[in-house]
Amino acid sequence: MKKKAQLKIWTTIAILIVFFVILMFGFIFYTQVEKISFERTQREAEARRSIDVAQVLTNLPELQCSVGAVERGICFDYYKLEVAEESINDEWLYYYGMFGYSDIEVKDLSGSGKNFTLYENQGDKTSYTTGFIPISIYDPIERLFSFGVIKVKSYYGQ
Amino acid sequence: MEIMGLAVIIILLTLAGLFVVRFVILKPVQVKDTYTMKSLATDTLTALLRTNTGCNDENIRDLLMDCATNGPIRCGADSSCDYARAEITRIFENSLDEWKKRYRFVASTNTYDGLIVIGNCTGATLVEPAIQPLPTYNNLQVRLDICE
Repeated sequence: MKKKAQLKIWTTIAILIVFFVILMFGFIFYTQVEKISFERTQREAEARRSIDVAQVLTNLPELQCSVGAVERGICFDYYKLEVAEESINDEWLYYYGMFGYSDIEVKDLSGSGKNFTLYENQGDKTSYTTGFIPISIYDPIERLFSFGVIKVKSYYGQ
Repeated sequence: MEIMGLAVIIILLTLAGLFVVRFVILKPVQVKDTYTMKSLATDTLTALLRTNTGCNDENIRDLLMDCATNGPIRCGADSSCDYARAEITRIFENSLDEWKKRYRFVASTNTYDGLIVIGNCTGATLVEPAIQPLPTYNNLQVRLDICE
């Protein structure tokens, strides 16, 4: 009788242990999945941030071309880009408020083939995402448009 | 004993239910990605059409219009159609191909569906098209699809 009772107690304990182990594994699995999902959301947010930085850049009057103001699409002036390479570095702190930790480059893909490095600030960040926006680059002296692209590397993480 | 078994089943069903609610019912809608892809298609097409080329400094828009109407523009040994196709391909190789974006560019008229076709979206999901009609007598239209 005593042995039967003892067996019953051990069986109950075993079932409880199995119960809590299943519960624990389920909880660990769920939190891991949530963690992966959160990291992916964070990466997507950082990717969108690089596009946001590029869109801020497209609205800077110090880069916009002065022809075709009513036309759609983004247009930068070639000679303003040349000047901006230096002037943005000179006023680095002001532009840091807009661009944060990022590298910004404008590439002329069909005209001069020149690359304009406008802003560089990686800081102590280790990861990055990259965004691209196609633009027109206008040469006001030759009155010609070329196909360009804004490339923004947005840094995050430590 | 039986109650313990029932409790285990209830716990497992609750966990399964949590997963279904979290990943199926409450799945976030990616509005910004669709907007960004459409913006990419529109910005690319707008910049492309405005681009001047080495063919008498004609822009791609004018080359396409000449191509659609069998116009007089010649680019050395090439016709406006061949030159425009080559330029557009080159620009896309340096941009959309480099960014690993799949796309399909089509210039068509009401008499000819595939005047110029570059890229393909076979087996991919079309995200958002950018469409630009150009003023020719045969209703030239250029379309850029970004797909994934």
